[in-house]
Amino acid sequence: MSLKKISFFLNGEAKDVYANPGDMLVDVIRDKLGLLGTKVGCKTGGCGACTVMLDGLAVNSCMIPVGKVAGKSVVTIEGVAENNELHPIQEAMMEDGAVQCGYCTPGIIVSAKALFDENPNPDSEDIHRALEGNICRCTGYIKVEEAIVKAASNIRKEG
Amino acid sequence: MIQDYLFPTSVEEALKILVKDPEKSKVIGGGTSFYIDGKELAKDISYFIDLGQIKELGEIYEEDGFIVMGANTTLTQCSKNPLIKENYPALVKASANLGSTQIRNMATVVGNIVNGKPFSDLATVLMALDAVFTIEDQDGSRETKVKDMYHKLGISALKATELVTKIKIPKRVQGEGSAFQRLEIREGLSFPVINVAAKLVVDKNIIKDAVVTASPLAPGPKVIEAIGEFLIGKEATDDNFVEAGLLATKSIKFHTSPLNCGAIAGVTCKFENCHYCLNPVPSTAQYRHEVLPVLVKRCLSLALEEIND
Repeated sequence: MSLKKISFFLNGEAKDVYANPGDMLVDVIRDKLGLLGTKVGCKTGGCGACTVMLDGLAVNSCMIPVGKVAGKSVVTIEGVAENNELHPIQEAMMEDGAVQCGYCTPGIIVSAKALFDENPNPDSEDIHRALEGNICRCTGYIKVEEAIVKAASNIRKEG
Repeated sequence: MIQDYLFPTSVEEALKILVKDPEKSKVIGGGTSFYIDGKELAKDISYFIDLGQIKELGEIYEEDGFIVMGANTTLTQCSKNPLIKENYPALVKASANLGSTQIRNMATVVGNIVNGKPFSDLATVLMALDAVFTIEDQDGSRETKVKDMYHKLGISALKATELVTKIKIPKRVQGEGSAFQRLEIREGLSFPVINVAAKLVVDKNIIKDAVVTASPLAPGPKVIEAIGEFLIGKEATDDNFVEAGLLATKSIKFHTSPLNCGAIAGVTCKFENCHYCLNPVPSTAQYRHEVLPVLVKRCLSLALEEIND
């Protein structure tokens, strides 16, 4: 086993991790760094449960060798809330009951955050496109979309 | 087992590393397809060579009548770039609809061609747009078209010591429009049943040039020559587009996707020219032939709508 030191920013903090550079990012986040919010679903980029932000963009952490993130910034679900305050999308999803079994929820929240960071005023099509890669097997998409619309309006009010 | 993950900062450096042990090296653009079908291959690979830090490969610019796109261009960047939007509606459509947002943020345009998959959306469009690939190795560079990018089913013609560094596409001319149509079993995150791309050049409603391509056909997409021969010199009317669609189905041969290949169970397929790997969406040749005329007609009509004045 050939381990390398890989340095990157995880949720804003500099981290050094010793891993094989070919290991998947999701495995390193969960098994080496102990952040279990990022879920493993299909491991083939099809379900979005493992979605994280890499330099601000939503990506599937099951398709990225950890070597690729050296020097980059990774944000997981644990980094979405700031200063002990939930992100408006997290609040809205709780209030609207946009969660059923919850397995897809971290991925959906990270995808929604990436959307808001780029476009604070998304329309229905923008939301559909942003969540295209997040599959919810409880089929709770309607409440999720409603929560995102609500969060967007809350963000605008605050901003 | 991976020994090292390398970030060359120039093409020269990347080629120098690559030539040391080409069989055990894997060039990474976005890396997305590698982890879908490459888990077994990873056992034999010692070095990942990531092109992500090579700045010159990240640019999109205009040069000598071409739009040049560096090899690091992701699908997201391609679909949002002003030069691409201005010139190639078909390319915007294809790159904005492949996979999912997460995949488009990582996957590169070049990767969609060099992974050798016969159902590549981008290859279908780039073939219609007459794109040229610049391929470099330590001895120099060569240029090649999409049709020469495929060696055989699932295998690209790129040699182990070569890199694709950029794609050049001729700029849109007066009266040119393009369109892309993808028949899929659901929107997003699916392989296509059929891809069709069209480029049309029209002057005073007379067709000056018409190129229609389709996939999946082994090993890469194909130009449906009969359409160009039929349409050039004719009026751009719905009737002629319908006729073009009917001609299309007579001049190419799709395959039925059988359900007996290992790829379904997640195992790398060992068959040569396996029709499942060629057409991973279960569908029959007959169905593909029946819907092709509709897609060709739709694509030509959309290309006509996209024409700039």
